[in-house]
Amino acid sequence: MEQQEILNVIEKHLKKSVPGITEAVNADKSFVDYGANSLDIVEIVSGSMRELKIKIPRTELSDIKNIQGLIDKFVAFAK
Amino acid sequence: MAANTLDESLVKHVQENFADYTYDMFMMNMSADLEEMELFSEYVDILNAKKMYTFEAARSGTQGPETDLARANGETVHVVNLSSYNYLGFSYHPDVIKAAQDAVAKYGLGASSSPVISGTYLVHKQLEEALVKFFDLPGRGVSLFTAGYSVNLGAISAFIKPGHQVIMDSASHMSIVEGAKLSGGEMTFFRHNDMEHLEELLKEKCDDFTRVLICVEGIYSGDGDYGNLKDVVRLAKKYGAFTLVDEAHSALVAGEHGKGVCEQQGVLEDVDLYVMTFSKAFGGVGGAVYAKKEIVQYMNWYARCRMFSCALDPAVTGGMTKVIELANGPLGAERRKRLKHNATYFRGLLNGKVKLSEGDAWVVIVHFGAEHKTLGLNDYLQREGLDTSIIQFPAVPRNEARIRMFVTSEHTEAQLKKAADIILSAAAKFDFLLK
Repeated sequence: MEQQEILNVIEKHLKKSVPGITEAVNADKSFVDYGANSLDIVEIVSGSMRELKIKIPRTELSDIKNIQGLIDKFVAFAK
Repeated sequence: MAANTLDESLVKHVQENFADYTYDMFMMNMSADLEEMELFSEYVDILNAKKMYTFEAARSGTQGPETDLARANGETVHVVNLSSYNYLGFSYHPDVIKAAQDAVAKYGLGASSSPVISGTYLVHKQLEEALVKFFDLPGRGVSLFTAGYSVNLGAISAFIKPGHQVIMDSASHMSIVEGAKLSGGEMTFFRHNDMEHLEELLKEKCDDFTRVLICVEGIYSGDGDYGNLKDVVRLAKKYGAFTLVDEAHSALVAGEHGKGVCEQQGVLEDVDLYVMTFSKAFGGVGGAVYAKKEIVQYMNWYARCRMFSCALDPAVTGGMTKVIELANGPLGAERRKRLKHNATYFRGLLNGKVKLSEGDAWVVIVHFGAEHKTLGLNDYLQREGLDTSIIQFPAVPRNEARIRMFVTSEHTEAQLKKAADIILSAAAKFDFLLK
């Protein structure tokens, strides 16, 4: 699965949870940088997982620092 | 009903790594089955089997300074109780219990109708009048709700419409965030108590056609510090915004007369929506918004979670009317004074030894860092004889987990000393003593 494809899905869920983001999302930034609160992050991550049909063990998600970190996890667990 | 679909490897993973699991992880679901619910159930079972499930432990008596906890696994522990926000001890005052008994005898158990249909009783009017008299500003009224959570949910969503703006402190309570979401207005957060950031947002968001509501708190329940209400009000006036102040942890307590942090900071008259929660110092349950009469009248009809809920139950309503009478008299003044003394004394025992919340409030926060320590730490605290309220992600940012303690006027110095000793011994064991 292409990184850009994953980023597009994450971006869609981020913009759904945090209305008002108009610019293209930079993967080096964190969700918090875009104004997402902790519950938004849970929604963005689980919504992206559902759409990409990738299951990541729950305990793997606690050390993600930025959006690129989440993309890397998706790549690692995509089959 | 769908069969249990849980993969055995998932169960095994929880068994072997239970300390790494946190609350938020069970919010996620990646498929149509009920995996997160079944896995959470397994997780709780595992913790109970290990005698480490410290939550939902049943109290055998009142929320007094000490209590017995019956854990779900059958164990009983005796603790100093710093986990209840019964700040002035009024929930079990004999006069309050008597007033509640009188009300239930007169009106029955439940209100049996929405407050705008036939659920408003004389006892509700008495509570409204007592609150209006207590705060004593001209032209104001109150709208009663059955939960503090519902006040924010209902009041914000009635006040703000799609196209309007809600600007919230980033440490705002979930009920404020959910109220803003429900309103359909645009939501923006400013950094906690950062007035420069708030002003930047106000400059950007305020215009003649957009209603802007700034939501802040008297005392932030996750941080234990005061809201900067004076400056919030100043900025709101400058830019033509409205203000909502949630005084859940400070109504009846803060300020010389107990009118909250708004009184303490001299802005009571300037606040548009003053939110109070009856489950804290009022010793009951429910909540209210105190505002200009025309706003309150509108809330009564357009706060949907109020209109479509049954009114407050008569017993609690009668009991709380008595609480306000007590809080307004010499007993209230004495207990407020004692609470402030107790909070200062308790903070003094911990200050400089652990990372403590700022200020002098009775919500005392000790930071312990990573949430994976929570289970072992809370088990240790209870077994040593202290019950607290742990908060962790997603209620606060990740790796900023906290022990939250509510000091009350009814604690003795000996009880608070014992509690502080337990916190310090836990800090040594779980590595959060300041170096």
